[in-house]
Amino acid sequence: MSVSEEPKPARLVVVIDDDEVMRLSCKEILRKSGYEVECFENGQAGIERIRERRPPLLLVDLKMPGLDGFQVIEICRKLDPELVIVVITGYATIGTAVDAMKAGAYDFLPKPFTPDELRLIIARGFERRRLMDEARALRREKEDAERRFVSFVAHQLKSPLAAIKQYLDVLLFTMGDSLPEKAKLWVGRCQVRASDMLELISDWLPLARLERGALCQAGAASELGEVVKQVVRDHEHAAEAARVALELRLEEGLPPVVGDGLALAMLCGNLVGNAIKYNREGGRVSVELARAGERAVLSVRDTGLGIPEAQVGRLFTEFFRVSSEATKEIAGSGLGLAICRKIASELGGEISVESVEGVGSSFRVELPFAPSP
Amino acid sequence: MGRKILVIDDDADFLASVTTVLEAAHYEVATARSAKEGLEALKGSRPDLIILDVMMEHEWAGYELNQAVKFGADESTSTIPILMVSSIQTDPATLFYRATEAGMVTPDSYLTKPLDIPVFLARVRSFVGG
Repeated sequence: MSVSEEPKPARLVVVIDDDEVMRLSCKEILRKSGYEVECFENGQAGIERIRERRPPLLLVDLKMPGLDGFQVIEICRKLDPELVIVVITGYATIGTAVDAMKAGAYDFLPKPFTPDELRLIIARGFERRRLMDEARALRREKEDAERRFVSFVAHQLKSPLAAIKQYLDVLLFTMGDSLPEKAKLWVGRCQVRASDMLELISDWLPLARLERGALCQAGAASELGEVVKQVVRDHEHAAEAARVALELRLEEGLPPVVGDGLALAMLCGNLVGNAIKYNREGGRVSVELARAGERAVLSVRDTGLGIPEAQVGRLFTEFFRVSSEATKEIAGSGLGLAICRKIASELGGEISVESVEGVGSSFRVELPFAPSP
Repeated sequence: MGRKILVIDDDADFLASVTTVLEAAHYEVATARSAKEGLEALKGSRPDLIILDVMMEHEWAGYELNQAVKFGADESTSTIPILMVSSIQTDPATLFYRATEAGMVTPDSYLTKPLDIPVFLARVRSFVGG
């Protein structure tokens, strides 16, 4: 389904310079050294091509009519942070070169320069790019390994507990009637303890993952609307069982937000799950997704127990649980909201809450839109 | 009565407890201990429902089997409903994201282990009756 992609232009140099002689000589010299060269006489056309072809290296003149070199650097940094930029400084003072490097250029080449100087600086630029690519690949590999490690631990810890719990459930379900009263009671208690521990592991693992910085995939973008719809669908059953009405209002046409589906689903799932769990019979949960400026705003409102004012401040702290008469019978690990806050902040967003005890709580998550590709 | 269910899981304890429940509800149960064994079992017989674990030989074994049953060479298996079970992810939304991100079809249905038995039996009934 992907458009036929051009092969990665491993040896491509884009040259932007308004001086034709300069363009031609750069092209000539670099082509002889085995580079592919594309030249443009103004910033606009060059940037368009960079957007299309993603070259590893850009050689740009600082002083040009229209977009000047500084503007080109600024736009290209946003377009592709890994693009190696070398500036040509004609009216050269060291000052402008330093400014260009502050703005994100990798190196500078003062005019006039010899063919050897040009070749050397371009070769260094490509070496720099190769090192950056390698470092990124290593980082990815490490993240993947950590993700795999955490899911392995999850499986190893949860499987035996799940098996124990399953035996206990089946025991009561199929043979409960023939067990002595006391045995039945104890099996029931074992069920509760096993369930609590399973829940603790489920909640703790994503947190462990987050602390290793491996929960949210770097650079990912997702349709938050789709994630929210799926999360709401998955909670319909639980809402029905708790006799809570679950409503969803989505603003259509929102751009994708920063973050991978897994992290976002966990964030939304925790909020919706809580809103159902800490509600009352006949209550309501309203999930709403809308746009506010450059951010998506997800709000989850419930008509539940609410949070005592004195405890609101600690709500997003690990292992903190609201303690009140109403919540003491509800099991939980106190990690769900800590996870939500970590995910939100890792994605560059925020989470906040307003709550009135006995009336309900309203959670609000703001997430930035992903930069357009 | 007499509907056949194939349970595929590498956890012998899970197979034992689930078999007990299903047999108590008068289903005919066959088991397999790996995705590979499961595929073998499907060559000889056509169950009315498959209950399938996610992580077996490797993290994706269950998904791959789901894919093979739905879109594999043997088209006659494509209509067998599959109920996937796992203890890895408590949140089905996240589980399905993993599947779709890997380009795989999501299962017909999904439940978290340990199974809530009344919910599990209701789900089984919704596919095969009885």
